[in-house]
Amino acid sequence: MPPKQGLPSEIERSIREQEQKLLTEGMKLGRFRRIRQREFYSRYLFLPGKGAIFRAGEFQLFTTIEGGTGQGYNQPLTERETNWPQTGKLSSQQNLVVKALHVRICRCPTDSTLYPAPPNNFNPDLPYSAADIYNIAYNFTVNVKYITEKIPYGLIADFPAVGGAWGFNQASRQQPIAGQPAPPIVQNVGLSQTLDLQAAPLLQSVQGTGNYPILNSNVVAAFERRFKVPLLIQNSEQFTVSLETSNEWQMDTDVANAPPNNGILRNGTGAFEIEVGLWATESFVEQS
Amino acid sequence: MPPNPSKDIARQVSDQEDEMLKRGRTPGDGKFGTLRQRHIWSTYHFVFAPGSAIQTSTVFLNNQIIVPGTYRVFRESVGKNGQGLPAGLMLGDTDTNFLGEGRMPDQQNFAVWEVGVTILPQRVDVVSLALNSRGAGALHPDDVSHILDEGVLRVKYITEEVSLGHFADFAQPGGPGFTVPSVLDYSAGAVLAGLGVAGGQNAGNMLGQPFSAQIARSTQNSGNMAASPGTRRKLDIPIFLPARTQFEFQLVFKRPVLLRSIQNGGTVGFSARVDLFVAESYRAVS
Repeated sequence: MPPKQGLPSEIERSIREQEQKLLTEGMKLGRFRRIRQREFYSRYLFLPGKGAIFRAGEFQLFTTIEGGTGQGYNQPLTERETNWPQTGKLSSQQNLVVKALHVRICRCPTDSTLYPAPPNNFNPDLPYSAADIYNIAYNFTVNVKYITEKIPYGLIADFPAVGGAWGFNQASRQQPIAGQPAPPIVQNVGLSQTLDLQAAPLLQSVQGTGNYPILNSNVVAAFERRFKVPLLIQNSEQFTVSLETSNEWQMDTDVANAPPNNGILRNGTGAFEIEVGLWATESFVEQS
Repeated sequence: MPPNPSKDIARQVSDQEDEMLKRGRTPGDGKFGTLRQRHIWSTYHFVFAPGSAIQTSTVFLNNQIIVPGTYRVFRESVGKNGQGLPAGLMLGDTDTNFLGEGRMPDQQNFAVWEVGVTILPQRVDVVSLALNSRGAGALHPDDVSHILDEGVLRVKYITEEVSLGHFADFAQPGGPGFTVPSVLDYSAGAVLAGLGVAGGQNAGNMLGQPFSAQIARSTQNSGNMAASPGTRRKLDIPIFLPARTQFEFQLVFKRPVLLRSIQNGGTVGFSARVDLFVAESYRAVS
């Protein structure tokens, strides 16, 4: 008689047990045996326009996953915007212990397909003006939301972002003009004034110095806002974060009389992007 | 009779040879008996085609773009071309010290406790390939800011890809200090503070004088936030990389990223170094 074909009996029995468990009890996943740490993040793109009044409202994050549309973007979201696995809740295969939270005021994406017409309402090439940074940091509350409960955790300013480029906050993005009255000690040092509106000659780095980024406060990782009482999120639990503003404020606009199409001499971006990041210990069960 | 040392050694050699030839096992007790801690790093070189047109209406040239894609490190070892380097250039010791090429060597295990990404100036020999069109030295802070916000760091095993966070979340230790930036004109030997109008010993007001490229360079940083080792991102749960594990780290850009033209302070390229601070066990084979 030819030998019986097929899998070894132990493996066959294991497969039958798994099938039984799934079909009769709805249970496929085993224990959450694997553990790791990483950042979970979700971004929102705000497009009010240069000089526009930003109206009061609430904006939900962690509600759109990669490939979906929403959260202010004109295109499907990518891994750049979020790595959250499920819309509005944690996936059934993960549990999170959130150790730290940060909110980053990101540089606007330079992908032009994300911006609606008219294009002159936005200039994503510029760093933000200090006035816009201030308004963003102090006019939004960060809420953690479950099914019906909404808990304000703080302002954006309370959650500085980790890392970022070094040493920007001291750079002036304004250029002085000649002929300002000299302070008593130094001679004819130009004082801060609005940006030079003259079209610059070739190879002028003046444009570069006038546009050093002013970013929100960045901190090293050890100093980010950490919870002594971590935020616990169970698998399948409903969870989102919202940014809410109840005050109206105005986006910075272009300097008056700036030459057209001379984007680098304009002040306002007309848009901004916010990221909420959760540094978490994750237990998970992976499927194969 | 006392044991014959020569016979014993001969037998040991024969046994080890047997183990290796017949079973593929490392001679000796096979344990990873030695421990140490050190940095393991690998660098990707983002090199762009030099631009040709001088733009005064925008700081960006169209071809100064990081093309969306996945850029892999820990794939090539010293002496190899790859990881973005132009043809003819090889990775050196400062580019990588990882021996494995896409997988852990047989003789090492890593427990990764810290991960960092740093944005660096490009190599001088890369600049030399297009001397008038590429910038050596520090990156423009504007470019660094964009790169840090746009790039995502992933670790990949065989089929599993895990996004760890954006580049900005993983600053590396050290790096040059950043002096208080100055917008003063150095071209006429002006002192650092207190400048007069054009002419004279303290030539060069902030405006009314063309800025020299020296000013842009002197006020630039060279990378992302220079976290001291004690304050960088540390993992409570290390990443385990046992011997022979297939893995790589990926620098992922999902959208095009515009960077500054060289005429406006850009460098037409940069390097990104991924650094792991690991506890390493290994066995030495002689």
